[in-house]
Amino acid sequence: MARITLENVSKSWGETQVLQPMNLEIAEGEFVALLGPSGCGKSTTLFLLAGLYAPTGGTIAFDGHSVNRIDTRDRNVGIVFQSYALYPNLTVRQNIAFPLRFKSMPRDEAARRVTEAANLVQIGALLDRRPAQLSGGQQQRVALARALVKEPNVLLLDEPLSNLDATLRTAMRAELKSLQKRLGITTLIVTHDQIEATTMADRVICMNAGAIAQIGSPADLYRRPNDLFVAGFIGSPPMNRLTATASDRRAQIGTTTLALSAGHDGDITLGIRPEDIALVAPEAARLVGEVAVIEPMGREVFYTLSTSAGALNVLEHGETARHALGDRVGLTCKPGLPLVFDEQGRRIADLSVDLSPVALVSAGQLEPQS
Amino acid sequence: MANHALVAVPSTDWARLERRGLVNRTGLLTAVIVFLTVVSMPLLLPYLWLAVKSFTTSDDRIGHLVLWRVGLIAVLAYAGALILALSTARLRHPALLWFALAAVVVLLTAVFVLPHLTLANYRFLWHRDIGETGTSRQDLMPSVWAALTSSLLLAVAQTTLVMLTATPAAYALSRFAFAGRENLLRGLLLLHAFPALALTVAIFVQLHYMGLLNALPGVVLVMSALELPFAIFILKGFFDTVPWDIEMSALTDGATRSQVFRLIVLPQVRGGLIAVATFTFLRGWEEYVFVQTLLIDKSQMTMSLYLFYVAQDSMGADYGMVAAVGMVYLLPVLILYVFTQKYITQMNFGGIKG
Repeated sequence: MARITLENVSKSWGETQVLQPMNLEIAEGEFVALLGPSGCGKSTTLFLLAGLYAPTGGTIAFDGHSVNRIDTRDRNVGIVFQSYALYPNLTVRQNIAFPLRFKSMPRDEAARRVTEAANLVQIGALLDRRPAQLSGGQQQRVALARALVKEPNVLLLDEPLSNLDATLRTAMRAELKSLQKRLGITTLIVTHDQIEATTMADRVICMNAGAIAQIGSPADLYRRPNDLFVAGFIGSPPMNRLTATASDRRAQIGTTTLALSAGHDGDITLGIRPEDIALVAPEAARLVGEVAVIEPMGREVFYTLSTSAGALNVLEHGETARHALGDRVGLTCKPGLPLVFDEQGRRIADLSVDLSPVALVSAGQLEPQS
Repeated sequence: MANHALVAVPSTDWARLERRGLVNRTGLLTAVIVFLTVVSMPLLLPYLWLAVKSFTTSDDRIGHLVLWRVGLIAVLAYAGALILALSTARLRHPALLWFALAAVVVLLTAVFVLPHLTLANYRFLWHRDIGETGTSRQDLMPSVWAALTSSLLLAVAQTTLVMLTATPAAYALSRFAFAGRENLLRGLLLLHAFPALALTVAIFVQLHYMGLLNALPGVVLVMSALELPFAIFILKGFFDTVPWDIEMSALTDGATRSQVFRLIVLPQVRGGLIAVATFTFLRGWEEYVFVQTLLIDKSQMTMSLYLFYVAQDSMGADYGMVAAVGMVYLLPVLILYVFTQKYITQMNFGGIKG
């Protein structure tokens, strides 16, 4: 187990810089997720840690010692590849025992550790099979056991769950998390699936185009995204975006004018998650839309509304739709929302737009007029 | 309400369709069997002729008799096997019937063919004086065992050399990015396509100056060089199928590059190695042109040359013996194929990949 430090680590292939200089500290025993779309440099970061790639610049340190000049095979990292990368010519037992071949270890000690690792991931009964005779989930467990058997400094998981079917993925997610907590191994998981990242990791590093976009707890990334990229990448269905023009304390959204919490000028983007919008009577809201699509999803109903500012998605709890196609509805949300992003897509932390329900003069106005 | 009679739905004649399906299926099966049988005949007949000829005296009458009888028995066996194979599902004891068929064939062979056979043509295996003319050709013709040894030596040495060179070369071409890699691959293909016979004279002169003329090592070197491009190209295709992930995984597990190669990569291309080695071995075993050209005095005669000289007789060729030598020449190849055919059929030709 090790504490990992990355200091100005960058990577280029010839002219192409795939990783901007990057600083990162991972505490001992921490479970960190590298989240980002494909090609954002997250796997490169993983391979840099494993020593499979050499950094173009910067220092990678385990427990404060630079490992830049340490060979892959001496770094003692456990790695689980997306393809599992099991050795097809060896049995499961030999696969798990493979890393121990290169450590001077008494034979019975090695055998004991193989059994222990196999039992840990519940494949004790499969030890004499070949990888080709195993299901995807079992292969995944073998790969995990092989990575764990050497008691690695750090466990690296490269999209380990993406080849599993949905049910198995959910089960493995919980199992990986509890295993990591039990063993206390510093773990880095690479994934493009935000659910995987937020459910398993203590801290999520969101990457975009070879640079870190934001580091934080899952809740941080969800509630306080630094920029539009993180806001859009985390959360499903994605955050709604409305473009608006701000001048002084007013924001013009389509045909609607809303109050700003502070003065600002220029183009802004409003971001609001579908589940943060409450649908009310049109008179009770500052923004009004028309129901265009209704998609019941079981626990929730997913609406697509058309407003003067564009289409908006709304997720409402309930098994049946409370509104019909073509209904006019009002949109409101809690104070502090929606989030406001500037022209460069960065969030303006102390700025918000007032979408709170209209304080009605008297209750009588809400009475249906018949 | 009353429109159910408006559209007269023609009732489907299911029985007719069923008959048609049956006719179609049997027709296709018959066509396929007839086609395959006709096509295999010219391929198999020479082997039958070779086998029969090698076991009969040079008397043409007996030769023909045996050839016809063996042919008839073969046809009988084939027809029986065909019928058995087609009706296996309907039979209660198929294994028993197969056994009966085999017994009948053996019996027929024993009664009608066996009495006419002789081992005389194989006398070269224990007599060096194959012409039975005293000692006249003894100096020219070495014993068949020497020829077999020479051929084996040539083929084994060539296979070893080619495999030891081609394996690392193919791995490097598959794995490492270096300048000129693409051109090297194209060059390999070109080299393989080049008619090697055009080089015979040049190679002869070169070997003469190298002092390797008239010596088996010289032939081995030449043959290996000619076989290398093909072997490298095929093996590269096999290495291409081994995923990078596996090698990277083994590296993180603590293995060195050479350990990864030996313990992880090589076992995965085992089929390819065996297939290419078999081909290289057979190329050496069957080689005629270069051994004929480069081994001037015939003390180190290979089997191909031995066969050639047995056929060259001023008194007219003894075809029985030629056939017998052919059988001896053929046998090791058949045995080799039995063991390696499963790997050879797996062989696929991967194209040039970047």
